[in-house]
Amino acid sequence: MKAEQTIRILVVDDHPITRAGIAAILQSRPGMQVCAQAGGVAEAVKLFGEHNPDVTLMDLRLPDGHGVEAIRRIRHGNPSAKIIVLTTYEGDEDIHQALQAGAMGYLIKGMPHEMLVQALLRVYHGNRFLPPPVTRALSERLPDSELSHREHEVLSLIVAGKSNREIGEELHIKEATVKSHITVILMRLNVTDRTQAVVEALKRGLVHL
Amino acid sequence: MIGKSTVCGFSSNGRKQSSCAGPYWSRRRAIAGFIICFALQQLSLSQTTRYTRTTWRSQDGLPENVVQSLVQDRDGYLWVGTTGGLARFDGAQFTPVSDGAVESLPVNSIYCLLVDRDGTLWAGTDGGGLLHISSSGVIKTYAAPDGLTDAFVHSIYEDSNGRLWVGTAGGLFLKEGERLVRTDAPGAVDRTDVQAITENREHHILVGSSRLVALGAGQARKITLPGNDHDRQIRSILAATDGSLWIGTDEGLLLRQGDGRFQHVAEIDGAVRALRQTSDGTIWIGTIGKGLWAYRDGSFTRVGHAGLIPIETALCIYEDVDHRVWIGTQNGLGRLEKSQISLIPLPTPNNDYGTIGGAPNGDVWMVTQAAFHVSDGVAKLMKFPGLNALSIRTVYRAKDGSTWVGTDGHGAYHLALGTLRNRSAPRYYAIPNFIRGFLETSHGETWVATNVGLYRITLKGVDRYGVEDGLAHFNIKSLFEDRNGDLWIGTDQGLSRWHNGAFVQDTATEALHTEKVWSILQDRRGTMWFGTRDHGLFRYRDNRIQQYSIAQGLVSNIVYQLLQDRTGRFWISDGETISSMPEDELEGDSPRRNGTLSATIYRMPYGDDGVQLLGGRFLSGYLAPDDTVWFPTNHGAAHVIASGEGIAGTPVVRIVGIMRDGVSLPVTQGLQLPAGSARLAFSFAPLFLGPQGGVRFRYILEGFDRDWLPAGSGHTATYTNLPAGTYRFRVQSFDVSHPERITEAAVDFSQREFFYQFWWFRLLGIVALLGCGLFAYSVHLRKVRTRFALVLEERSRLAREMHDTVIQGCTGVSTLLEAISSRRDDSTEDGELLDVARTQMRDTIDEARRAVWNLRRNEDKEIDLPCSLAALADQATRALGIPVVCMQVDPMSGISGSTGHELLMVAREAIANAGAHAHPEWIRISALLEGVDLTVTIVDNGTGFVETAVSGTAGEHYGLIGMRERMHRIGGTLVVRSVSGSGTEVVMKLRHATVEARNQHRPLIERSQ
Repeated sequence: MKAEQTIRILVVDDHPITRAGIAAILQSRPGMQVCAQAGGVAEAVKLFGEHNPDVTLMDLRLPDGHGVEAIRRIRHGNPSAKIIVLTTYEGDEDIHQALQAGAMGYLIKGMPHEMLVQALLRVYHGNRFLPPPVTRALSERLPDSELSHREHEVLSLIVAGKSNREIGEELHIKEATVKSHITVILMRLNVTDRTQAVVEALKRGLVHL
Repeated sequence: MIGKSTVCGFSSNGRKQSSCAGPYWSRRRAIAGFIICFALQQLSLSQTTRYTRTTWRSQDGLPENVVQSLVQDRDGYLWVGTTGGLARFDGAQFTPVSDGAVESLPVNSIYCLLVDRDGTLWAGTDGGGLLHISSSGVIKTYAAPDGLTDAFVHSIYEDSNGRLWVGTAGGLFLKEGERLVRTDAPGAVDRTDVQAITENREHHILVGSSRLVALGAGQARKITLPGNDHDRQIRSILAATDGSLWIGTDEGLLLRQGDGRFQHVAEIDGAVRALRQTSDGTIWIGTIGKGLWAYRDGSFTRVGHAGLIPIETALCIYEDVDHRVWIGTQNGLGRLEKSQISLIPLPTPNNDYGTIGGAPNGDVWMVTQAAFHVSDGVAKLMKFPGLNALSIRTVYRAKDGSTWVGTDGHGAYHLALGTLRNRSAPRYYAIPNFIRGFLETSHGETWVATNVGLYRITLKGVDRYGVEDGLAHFNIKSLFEDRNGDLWIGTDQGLSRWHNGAFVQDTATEALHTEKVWSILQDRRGTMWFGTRDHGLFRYRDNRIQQYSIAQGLVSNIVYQLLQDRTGRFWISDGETISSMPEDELEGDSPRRNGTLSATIYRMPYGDDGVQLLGGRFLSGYLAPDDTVWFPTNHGAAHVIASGEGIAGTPVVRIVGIMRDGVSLPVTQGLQLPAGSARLAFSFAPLFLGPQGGVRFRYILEGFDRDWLPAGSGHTATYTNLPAGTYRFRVQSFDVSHPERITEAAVDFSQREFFYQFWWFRLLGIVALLGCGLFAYSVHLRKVRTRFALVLEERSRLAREMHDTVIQGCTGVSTLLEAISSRRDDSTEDGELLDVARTQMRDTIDEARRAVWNLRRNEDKEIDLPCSLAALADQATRALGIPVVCMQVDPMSGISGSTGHELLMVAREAIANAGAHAHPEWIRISALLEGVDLTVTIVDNGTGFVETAVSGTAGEHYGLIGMRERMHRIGGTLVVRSVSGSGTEVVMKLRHATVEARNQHRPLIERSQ
């Protein structure tokens, strides 16, 4: 391995122990340096702006928003920002959304430290890093499972256990409209009832608890 | 039954009756000289027509026995005016007019009746004025306020100009508008009792009271009658078609013929109450107490002597449209019809047996105990020389004119022509027992039938044939030679055929082998016919047998004698009736169904109603050369003279009543019956004034019956529990002599449904039921949803909790471990330990993540357990460094993911425990499927442990508890057997392991939501 300059890394995770662990792994590596740690979306965006890290490790589940949102905002300000998702989720929609937002790699928590380092290096060098489970999940994603914003809202409320009437009241739409949305959702998720839709939505990361 | 309709005749006891008018002395004929014939009785057969008679009296429904007036309306009903009211008669039943009507008759005695040209009925009463009865039954009374000053109406007449004349006890009235106007000018018609009004050929109105007055051309002219006006009361007037004028008075009958002078009719004694000329020209004279008389061809004959008219009084005489003559008497209503049968009485009648046959010159012999010669309507005893003491059974005339005489047990005698002159004894044949009959064949043989077999007399001698020779039965009832010269022998048990000198069998003899064949005939087309005693007629043609019985329209299943006349008509006698049937119908290819053969029944003349026809010997019937038929009876020889045209008129069927559950309903169209009619009965009757014995009915309820049903004698069709719907009840009637003349009556009605039978109610019921079902289903669905939502919520909460705590924590720890690992040298012993921790942590995270999914997941994908076990074994082999092998794993499918997961977890725990504590050299896994029951066993050869000791160690204790709990959760059991020093065996047993089996045997936990 030839000498390289230090890779500055921003770690975004709401869990301090995880952050500490990651920092410990990376600090021991020559050429890698955790320049900042953030526990939420806003903080991440702010610290990214302050430190301009080479690579950002981004958790998707954050207290003040979704990691994808943070990725979008960061990429909005700095389109060349290199971001690796590091999360417990491996749903195809999560991966898809993250990659859509501009993430270059995707790691599932609990990975061996070697994989983390490998991912950081690859992304730092401008490559993508998607481990086999992630690519497999991504490939399983149905091409037309893209839900509209309204459908996504409806699906979220279904997952939240709301009835059609409650969904209609919440979204200020008619119950009949809710039903038609649900019909489309079921079709897109390739399921036959709302229970399966809930499971599928959670599994694929369309909705999170 | 009383008396006879002949002028002279014998009553059944043979007592001679007085001869009354123009006795006909039969000519004595020179009959064959050897027959000493002498008239035992001088019997006269009247040239006047003989009549059948039927009477009705109060016990038959007549309001009262004194019948004063008769008229037939346009519908065909006969109205009968009695001293006890007015009744309508349909031929079988009397319907009283006053019966139940609010507007009952003002007075009972109906003296005279008239149907005017409008078809409405007028009735003159004895004290109640004039009644007008409309077709709807509304009665209007004309009395003093209407101008009718006298209430005793004794005559009504409508003249050719349509004027209505009313004769009363107080003068003559003419109806003008709605009023009655007294028309007898003083001096013209006395203020006396006008009992007769009629119109002569000159259209003069003849009015009879004490005097006879002719009204015409605006003036009244008195017609002088012999005798004193003061003593006279004219009762009836008849202007006959020949111009003669008949005046019936209390003193007798006056007749004015061509010479213009009235003469007293000497033959008629007593008051003449009724005069009527019938369509055949006969003038009927009804007297009070002196009988009913008929005048025809210049002579008066007394009809119905000896009690036809019980007290010899005829109050009225009427002829209906079918030319039946009706007589109103003081003792009932009588109907006379021309009889087509003439009965020639024998001097000594015999109820036992009788035969009849042809005599010379077209005459007839009838034989009972003795032989009688019937000629010109007179029967005379025949005496055979030498046979005086013998009882004669049958006489047969051979072709050569000689005569065969059969006796009762004394053989057969042949009286040849030659022996007649010589008066020598007849030739005797010792043929024993009872001679049934003779038959001379075309070969010149004479066959003699007896009750003990068949005898053949030829020039060579006498041969006997019995059962042993092939004869069907010894008791012979009929003999016949067909055109081919074959002899047919009918016996009391079967039929035999003699062909070319031997008895032969054919289709007919086989088919009739049990029948009593009493009559045999070959018709003019060559078809053979067999009449049987019990089962009707059998036709034998083209080697096929066809049976005719009552079912095909035969009058009876008894056939004594079958004859065919030269017009082709078939004649049949049974025990009681003579009937005839047209040839074409019997010759038809297939017999008609439903009794529609046209059978004409011939009724015996009055006085001989109970006559028994005789059969069983032959001949029991004879076709005379003049093409008339004769039959023997116990009253003498019955001679049917008439053609077979059958009865006059057609019975018109009517529906006379509808009864619903015992309540009478009006007979109207479109009747709406309320729901729940249990019993519906239609009664019908023929309107037919003739004899109704041959009237047949059939009916159908359209919408219910598939086919016409023949009605029995009940004249009622009853239906029970008709389903709701629209129906049409049709009834048809016809007389058997004219089955093609059908009349029909029908009534439409509908049976309503119960409200619960209406379609809308049923629909409503279905909708309600569906609604209930849907409601129940939705309630159930909501329940399920609620429960599911609760479960889902709980699971989601758990999953969230797990994620937020366990997984989060684990990932944190994992990261830390990774961090430590990344800083250390892996070669150290601590490094190894750290690696185990790292791996374990990763697995835990995976497990936790999967557990979260399982919590959320409802459906369960199947797992390939053998494959998973193999993977587990490989993994353990690598992790533990000892061989962990799947020794025996049955191929299996249908293990659900959750179940399989638990099993794998338990297996892994067991392997891990063994590897961690027992230091085995190997671990073996087996999974055996027995039916649907699964057993997974993990065996090692390690140190084992003492079970009690195990519970002491907390970790292992919990490990085992966890394993047990997992097994329990999926409805299985866990058994751990361990012997210290020789290994451990962990056995997981799961009954109904497959998804299919699990669904049938719901486990406790897995699907409780």
